[in-house]
Amino acid sequence: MEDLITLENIDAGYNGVKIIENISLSVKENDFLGIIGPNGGGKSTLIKVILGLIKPYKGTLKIRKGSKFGYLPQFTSADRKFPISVQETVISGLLSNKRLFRSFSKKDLENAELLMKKLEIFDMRKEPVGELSGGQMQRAFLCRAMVSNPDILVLDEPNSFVDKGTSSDIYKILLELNSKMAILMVSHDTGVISSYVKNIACVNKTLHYHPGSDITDKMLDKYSCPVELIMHGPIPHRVLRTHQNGGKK
Amino acid sequence: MIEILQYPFFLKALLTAFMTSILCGLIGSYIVSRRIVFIGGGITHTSFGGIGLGYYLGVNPVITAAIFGVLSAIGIKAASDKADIREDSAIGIFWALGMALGIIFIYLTPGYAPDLMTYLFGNILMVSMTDIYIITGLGIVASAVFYFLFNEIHSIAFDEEFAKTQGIRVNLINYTLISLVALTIVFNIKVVGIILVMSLLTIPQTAASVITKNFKTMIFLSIIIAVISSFAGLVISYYFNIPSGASIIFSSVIIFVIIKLFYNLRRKKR
Repeated sequence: MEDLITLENIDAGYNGVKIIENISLSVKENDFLGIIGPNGGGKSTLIKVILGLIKPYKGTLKIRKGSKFGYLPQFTSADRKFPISVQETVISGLLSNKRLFRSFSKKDLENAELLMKKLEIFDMRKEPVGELSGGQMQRAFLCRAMVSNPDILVLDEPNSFVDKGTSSDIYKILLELNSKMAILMVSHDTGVISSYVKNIACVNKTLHYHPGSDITDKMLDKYSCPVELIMHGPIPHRVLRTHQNGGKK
Repeated sequence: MIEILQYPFFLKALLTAFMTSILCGLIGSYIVSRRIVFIGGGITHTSFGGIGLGYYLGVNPVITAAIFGVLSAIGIKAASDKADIREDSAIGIFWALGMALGIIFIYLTPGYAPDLMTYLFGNILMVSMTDIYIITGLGIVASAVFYFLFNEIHSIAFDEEFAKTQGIRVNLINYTLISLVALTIVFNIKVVGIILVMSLLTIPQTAASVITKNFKTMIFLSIIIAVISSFAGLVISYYFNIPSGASIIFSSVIIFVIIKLFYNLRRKKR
């Protein structure tokens, strides 16, 4: 079967400065790829290349024909005072399903309603999105990303601003969606990564691909990814590892 | 009050004000919510170069101004998107260039430019039937674009990057809208003048945004506020014998202040 996404020897960055280098990656249907790495390592840049928001300097990018994207940006460039309601924001995620000059299908609108209920933002659907709290806004944007039932769902730090309870609700929804679509997720929360994702990519200028979802100490050490390590055990506990080259940036 | 309605010139002015209010209410809501007021200022002043060129070549200055306006709109966008010049710097350069070219062309034109003041300060009574037809036609085109592409325009204006990932033709829609903005500005220069035209595109809309946070409602309210302030401005202009452009803008500011004060008081009470 043809891969959904194929990157070959991609170099990319901003204003002529190379941020990622010689990256090759392929994502298959129903993959759940966790993308980890240090700040400034190029995780978001990689995602933007895949989404077609940045043209790579070098290399080839292939997306399977007709694939639709869902996208949750890390920092939304959105203006908090912009006149748009929660519902309108969510529905704007359906534009890829809609032909120009046509209106939305009934099925799509019902799906939007269902998703808003699931993520508990249905009651505030008429409110301006800019007046929501950080966590509520994040859920509205998550709704927008998922509502079209995309083929590829790209999430840049979906758990920021969201409390732990909501966070695990979100991951439950993601696991459900994963049977229908491939998911690419950037996260610092390696505990979450190792319990939900199928494969891991570590990005620090270059990319190291790890089939399977176990994050090992060695793996982090070798590629100098200052991320936290989670130990699975009877009593939940966290162990934070320091790296030789300094965990802090 | 009834007596002034007997003058055909005044009825024509009312019609102009009405058509202008619809067009500006719509386009201005886009300008204000997208925060491109300063781009509008750039386009307005660049089009002065076109007015100068029109005088120099002996053609209708509105036509050359329209060309300058649209080119500057596209130029400002392209300079910031492609040439890596910061948007506000690009606006500043176009702004100054347009004014400089205008001055040069008018200086080079022999004789005195008789209605130059009309372009600077506007005179709704000088508007011809052709101008009214153009403003009406532009209003129809703009309304159609917003009617059919409302969701796309709304989404791009809110979050352009996300819209790009959804396969929306962001650039095409952006350039179409910025051209509509430029044409709206240029064809309203005769009504209130270069110096005041941006106020028609910002004051009623800002007043509307105090009342509502819904984009569609904002468009309708802007149109209503614009109609009221231009009608009031015309009446004031007639009775106090002052330039109509200035009195229209003055009325709209008064309406804005009243709405703002009323809403601030109401919020405090709650």
